[in-house]
Amino acid sequence: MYIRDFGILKNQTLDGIDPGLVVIGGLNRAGKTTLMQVLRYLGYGFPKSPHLPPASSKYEVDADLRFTGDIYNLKLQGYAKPELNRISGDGQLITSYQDFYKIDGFTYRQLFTISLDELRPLEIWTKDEQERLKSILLGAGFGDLLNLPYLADRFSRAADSIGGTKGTTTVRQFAAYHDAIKQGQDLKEEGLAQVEEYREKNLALQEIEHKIEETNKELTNLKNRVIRLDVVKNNFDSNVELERLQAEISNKKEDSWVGGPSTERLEQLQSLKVNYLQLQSELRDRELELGLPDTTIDLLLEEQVNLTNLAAGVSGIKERIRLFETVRQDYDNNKQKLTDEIRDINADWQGQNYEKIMDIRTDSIEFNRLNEVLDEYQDTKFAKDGHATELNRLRLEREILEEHVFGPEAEKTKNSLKKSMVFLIASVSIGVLIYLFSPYVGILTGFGGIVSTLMYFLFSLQKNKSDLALLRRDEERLADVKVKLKLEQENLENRQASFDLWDKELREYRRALRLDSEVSFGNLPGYLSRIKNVQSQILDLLRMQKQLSTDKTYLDEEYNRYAGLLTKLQVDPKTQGEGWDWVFSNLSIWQGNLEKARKVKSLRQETAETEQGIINILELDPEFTAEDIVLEDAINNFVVKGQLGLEFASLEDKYRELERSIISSLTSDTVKEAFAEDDILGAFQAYCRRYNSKQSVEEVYLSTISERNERNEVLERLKADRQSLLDTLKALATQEKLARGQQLITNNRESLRHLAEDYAKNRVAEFILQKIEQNMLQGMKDNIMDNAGQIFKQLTGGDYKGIFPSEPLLENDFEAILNNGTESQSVDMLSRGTKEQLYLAVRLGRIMDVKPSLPVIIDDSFANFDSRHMGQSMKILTELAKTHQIFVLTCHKSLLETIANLQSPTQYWMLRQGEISRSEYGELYQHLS
Amino acid sequence: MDRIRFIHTADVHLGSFLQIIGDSLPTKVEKSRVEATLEGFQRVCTTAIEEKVDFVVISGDLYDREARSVQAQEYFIRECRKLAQADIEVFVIAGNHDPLRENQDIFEFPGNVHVFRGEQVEMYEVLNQRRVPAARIVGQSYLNRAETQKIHLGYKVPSDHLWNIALLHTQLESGASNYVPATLSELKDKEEIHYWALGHLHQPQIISEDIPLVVYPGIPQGRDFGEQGRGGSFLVELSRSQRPSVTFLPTAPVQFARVDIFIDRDGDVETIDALREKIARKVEHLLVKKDDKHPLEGYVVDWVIRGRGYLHNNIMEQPENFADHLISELRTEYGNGNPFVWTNAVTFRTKPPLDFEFEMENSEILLELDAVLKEFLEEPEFKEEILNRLGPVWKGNVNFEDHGPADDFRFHLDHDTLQELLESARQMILEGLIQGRG
Repeated sequence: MYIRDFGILKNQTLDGIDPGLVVIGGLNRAGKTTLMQVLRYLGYGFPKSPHLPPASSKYEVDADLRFTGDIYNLKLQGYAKPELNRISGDGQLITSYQDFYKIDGFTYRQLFTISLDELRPLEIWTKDEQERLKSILLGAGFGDLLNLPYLADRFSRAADSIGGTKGTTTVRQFAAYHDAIKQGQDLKEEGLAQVEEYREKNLALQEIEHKIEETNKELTNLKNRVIRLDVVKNNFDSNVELERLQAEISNKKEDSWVGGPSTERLEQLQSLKVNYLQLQSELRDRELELGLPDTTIDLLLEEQVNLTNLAAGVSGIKERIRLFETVRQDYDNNKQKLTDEIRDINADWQGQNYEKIMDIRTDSIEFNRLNEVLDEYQDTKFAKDGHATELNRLRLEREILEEHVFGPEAEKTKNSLKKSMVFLIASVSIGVLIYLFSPYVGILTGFGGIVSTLMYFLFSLQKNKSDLALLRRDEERLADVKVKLKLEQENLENRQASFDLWDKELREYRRALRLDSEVSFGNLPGYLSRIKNVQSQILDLLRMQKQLSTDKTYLDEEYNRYAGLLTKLQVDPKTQGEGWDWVFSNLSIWQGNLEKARKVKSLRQETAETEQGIINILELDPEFTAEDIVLEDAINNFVVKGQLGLEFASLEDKYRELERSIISSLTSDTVKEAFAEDDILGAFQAYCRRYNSKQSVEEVYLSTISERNERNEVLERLKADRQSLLDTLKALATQEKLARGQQLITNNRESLRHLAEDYAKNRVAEFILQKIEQNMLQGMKDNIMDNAGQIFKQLTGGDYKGIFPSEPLLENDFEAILNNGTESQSVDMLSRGTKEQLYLAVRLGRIMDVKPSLPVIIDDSFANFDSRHMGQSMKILTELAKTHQIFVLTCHKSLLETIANLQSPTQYWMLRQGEISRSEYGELYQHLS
Repeated sequence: MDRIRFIHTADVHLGSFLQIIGDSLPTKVEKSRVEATLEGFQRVCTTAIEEKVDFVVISGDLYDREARSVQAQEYFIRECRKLAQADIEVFVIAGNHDPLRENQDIFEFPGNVHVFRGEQVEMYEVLNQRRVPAARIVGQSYLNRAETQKIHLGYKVPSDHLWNIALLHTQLESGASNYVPATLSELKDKEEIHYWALGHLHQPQIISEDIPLVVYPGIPQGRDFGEQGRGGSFLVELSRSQRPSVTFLPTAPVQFARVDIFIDRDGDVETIDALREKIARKVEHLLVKKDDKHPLEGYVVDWVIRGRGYLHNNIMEQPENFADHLISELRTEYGNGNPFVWTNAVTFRTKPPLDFEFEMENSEILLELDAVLKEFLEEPEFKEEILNRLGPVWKGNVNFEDHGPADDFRFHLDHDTLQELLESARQMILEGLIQGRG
């Protein structure tokens, strides 16, 4: 084993540690406890614990371990789990440290580390320590077992505090939630009961609804009765008066004049009568004033429009007469002037009637055209004369030039060149002929002829040059004159033709104007103008003549009209006269008569209308006849009868008014509904007749009101009951209680569940612990105690046969079985030495039971043993050392002695302030002394 | 046979409340607690109208005698009136939670609701959308809380061109049963029935996919952690030409979820902040939006903290304070969200780190302890013994179908709970032993 870093131990190597008994000695504070911790945790790794000595940097321990013949290396670093590697061997490979140390670390440390302090005399221990001791004695593996009853008890108490011993929900912590749930249940029950109550109340509601309906019907009847009685009460006196009127009307039925005159109509009749008498008087006066027979008056009125129109036209007629005279005077003057003008133009026309002058077609001759033709005539004549003169001059010039050009001198000049040419041709011809015979001579001849001719020609040319020039100029001029001559000849002919045309046209004009041929063309426009003027004057005169004739006819006709009317009206034909003056004076007289006649006519008409007006009124009486009556009497009778009729009508009006008044109090819908009959008045009167007096009606009225109020109260009560039921139903219809109850249950059930789970956990844990304890005790009995028994037997030299744990363990400890096998003694009954042997036996038995064998560590507490006990104990340990490696860590030399005395193979190591080294007994003994 | 479509639901427990823990729940959570079963049913009816089904069948336990309420009945009637407007008939049998003799109706049902009698088997013909008979519905209600007769053997219907749908509220177990003893083979043997619309078991399951189909729709809205998972109903379509189609429609507004948080997986959780962070991630995971027609309004969650680690030591110093504080924090953080995540409870099932037990390794007592635990968990006589020791607050076989007032005070020691208890006890013992060793 190599300890690199663990507390005080640093770089310590323990080579060749014996597999049997190994004694490590050292004084206090040498590092024994530290080494012990290394050994205790070697197979498990170091925990992070304040109880372990610290490392300088980190824990590091390395060890080779033998396991069924194989060697493994185990390495511890820091807090890591042990690392295991096989170094040699071929057995089954182990990879996990847990397969090496097949027991949990805690148990190993407790079981395999034996502090001999634990073997102190029992008497000095307290009760708790005794229990602790039992644990120790049983070995750490049984320490848990010893703990079980404590734990079970703790869980049991925890469970009890929650739900009592039986888990009843009405107790302890459960109780509060139980109560709340119960409260929720009660609420729910109430909620559920509500539904049934709702059903019942709903039925009750339907019954009340029915009653309300019935009562409402009764109330409607009572209400209608009250209304009827109220109406009868209020109108009772009116109805009495109505019936009285009805009787009076019946008595005066003969005065009834349906359709008779109104008061106004009667007054109107009186007024008409006065008016009528006045009109009659005035008419008589007017007729006398006019003094014309009715026929004349009628004729006058018949002609009144005519007469009025004629009178209105008098001033116009007078003006027309004056104008006529003026026009006639103008006409005579104009006629004389015209006659003079005609004679002045053409004496031949004197005495001719106007038609001939008017026949002249001056309108066909345009004044402008005549002037244009006249201008063209004169221009053409002038031009024609000019051309004739030029023609004569040119003819003379031609004759002179022809003399120059065609004379003998001229012929001569023209022929000189022709001679030269003939000579030339002859010379050449000769030359050619000669050449045929003698070329040289011929050439010479020809050439000589050409030269000679050329020379002659040049000479002649020079001589005729000026003559020829003169001749040529005259020829050109002659040709020009000829051309001009031809042109002038043509112009003359053209002009002559035009001139002939203009001349002809002017002659036509003159003839048309019926003028003598002596009249020159130049005077034609003047004549044309004067003739046109005369023609115009003739037309004016003719128009005046016609006007005078028309006016005359008109005045004659008018006269006949005026005179005709006056003649028709004239009573005495002798007074008739003639002329316009007579007409005008009589017309004025008849105009005055006409006004008077009109007045008479108007009065006559007004009288007749008034009379008709009176008759129209009188005709209202069916008995009235217009024949043979005196109008005044008829009027008086009518008035008396009319007034009686009016009085009767007034009676009827009163009746109707009263009736209307009563009916109006019956027209409201409520009253109509109360009587519920079409003839509401009839129904009302029938109702009235039931009662003798207004007082009796009032009595019945009051009693009915009282009855109605009573029923109303019943109805109100029913309605209140209904409302109450509705409210109840509304309240019952809510799920509020159910919902609230359910929520109470849900919430508290959840809390209860938490508690129930806690309760269950504790109870189950308790149960589990009991079960484990039971099982483990059984195991102890079956297995462990066998080994322990053997050892105990050995330790006691056969006095005791074995041991077994008693139940319950904590109270009763162990029992030792006597050799006879039938008796047993509890620990208390044993001697101290036997007790120690028993505990050691149990422990060693347990150690031996753990396979594979693990190293046992003996702390040095053997010191307090007396030498005999120590010897016995160590004897057992040396026995154990045959199967287990045993480390004895001590500071006591006595223990060394004890071991040495056993003479068993022992390896010694010395520990000095963290330094470990192999040692021998003597050396170590010396060191510890 | 004409094609028919219908909705099969059961165990509605209309009006019963969700078991959500908390003294003053946020408005939304409280509303869900009280109204989720109603809303769950409303969603079923809305779906029926949207899917234009021919009829709706309710295979028992429409109401809950533990939570009878006027509202529940009013609600049912209101929803059925809507179905009536859509020309959808409703067929109802009573189950053990709403037997006819204990469940007097306050209001009259609308004409489209048919409740089967309890004294005898009844049969109705249903018209389809074209107003011709398309199916027969046969069934019988529970008269009392228990129905020990094999009433399904009395279901006799003609075998012709109409679909035959049978309503039965059964636990589907052989032998003596208070809930119509029946076996699968008995149901399958009735060949004239095409669809067994079962009720009673609260988890949705299709027992037989071939005709005759045997189907439990489960509870449309779970109410506690015994009814985890999203509740809903089945939309069934039967057609001559195609295989039967049975589609689960998740409609529950609220879902119960027990979520494990391990302090030694996916990174060690050594501090309280890290634990909160880990829970936050789980919440995020829960809130991942799902493409549901009827979205969840919220989760009710039990957080179970598991695993080994040093955090355990911190927690165990004051486990209750720690849990209360964490619950309060989580409720504040997530209880008002949309959807809400309401922390019902936080349970610590943690253990100390392994080196805590190092000392005990290989010890005889540890070996013995584990041997005992194994025995306790596996041997029935030990479970019995444990139950005896645990007293009335724990029961081995609490039959929650017969839930009575006494059951509010006791808890079911099922296998898992026992395992948890034993594990906790082991831990306590180890700690005690180690402590005892000093």
